Amino acid sequence: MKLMSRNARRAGVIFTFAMLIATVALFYVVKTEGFRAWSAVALSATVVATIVMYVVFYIRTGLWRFVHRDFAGYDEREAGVALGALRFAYAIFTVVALGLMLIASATAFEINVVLVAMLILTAHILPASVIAWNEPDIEE
Amino acid sequence: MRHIEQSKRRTLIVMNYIALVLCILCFVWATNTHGNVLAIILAALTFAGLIGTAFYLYYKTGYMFLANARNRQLLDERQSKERMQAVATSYAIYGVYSILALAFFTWFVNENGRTRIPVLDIDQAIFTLAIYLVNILPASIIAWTERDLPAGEE
Repeated sequence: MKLMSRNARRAGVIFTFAMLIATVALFYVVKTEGFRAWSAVALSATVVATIVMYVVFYIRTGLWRFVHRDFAGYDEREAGVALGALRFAYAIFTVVALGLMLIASATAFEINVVLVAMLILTAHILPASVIAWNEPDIEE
Repeated sequence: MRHIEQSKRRTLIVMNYIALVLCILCFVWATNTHGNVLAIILAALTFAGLIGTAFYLYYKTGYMFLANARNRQLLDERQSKERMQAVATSYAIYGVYSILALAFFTWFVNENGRTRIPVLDIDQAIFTLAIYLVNILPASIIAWTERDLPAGEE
């Protein structure tokens, strides 16, 4: 796994989720106000930034692979880290999903395909994000 | 921790989920018929079945503890990996369930927040199922997959 400082990892996690939220928000803006030059540019930029962060921050550093590999391959410490991350991600995702269901059921808020796509991506990267956020710096 | 044979555990899990579905259906029936007595009685009976099977299967056997133990030091390596597998599978199942529930709200709920098909006024059922699944799924998966202990180790 490629080494990064904890601060850099935390900045990466914050930036990725900020881009995810911005993509969804901008899509709703475009849908209600129609396509304008600034919104089209901003939406494209956030989508590109999200994809770049996914590839550079999660795939290339090995964070994504760490929580998506065969469980038999973990040593005791890795198993503890992965289990903690999965449990925390499960709890967070549960709250987010229930909140969205509640909003969708109680209000006229429309769930669209971009929100669902971002929710799927969030579910995929959450465990890796928890690890990136929590793991201490490694002394080289 | 009381040990139950794998085949019996699996039967209990299936019964538990059948009781859950029947209970929700009876509550939906009672809601849509404005308090039909038969629907209320059936809902109460299935609810008792749901609680009974859940208590016996998850609480008495300790699977609830195994799935929700806060302190990892209390688990050995095998239990830790079993639990990780269970949480990962639960996470995947719950993710799919959430997406389907959101799709339901998008396609079948109109702008006033009511379902387009009156018989399917099942918002509360979807929430109830979601909350129950979140709590029970990891324990269910551990109970379903754990092998029987060799004879003499019970």
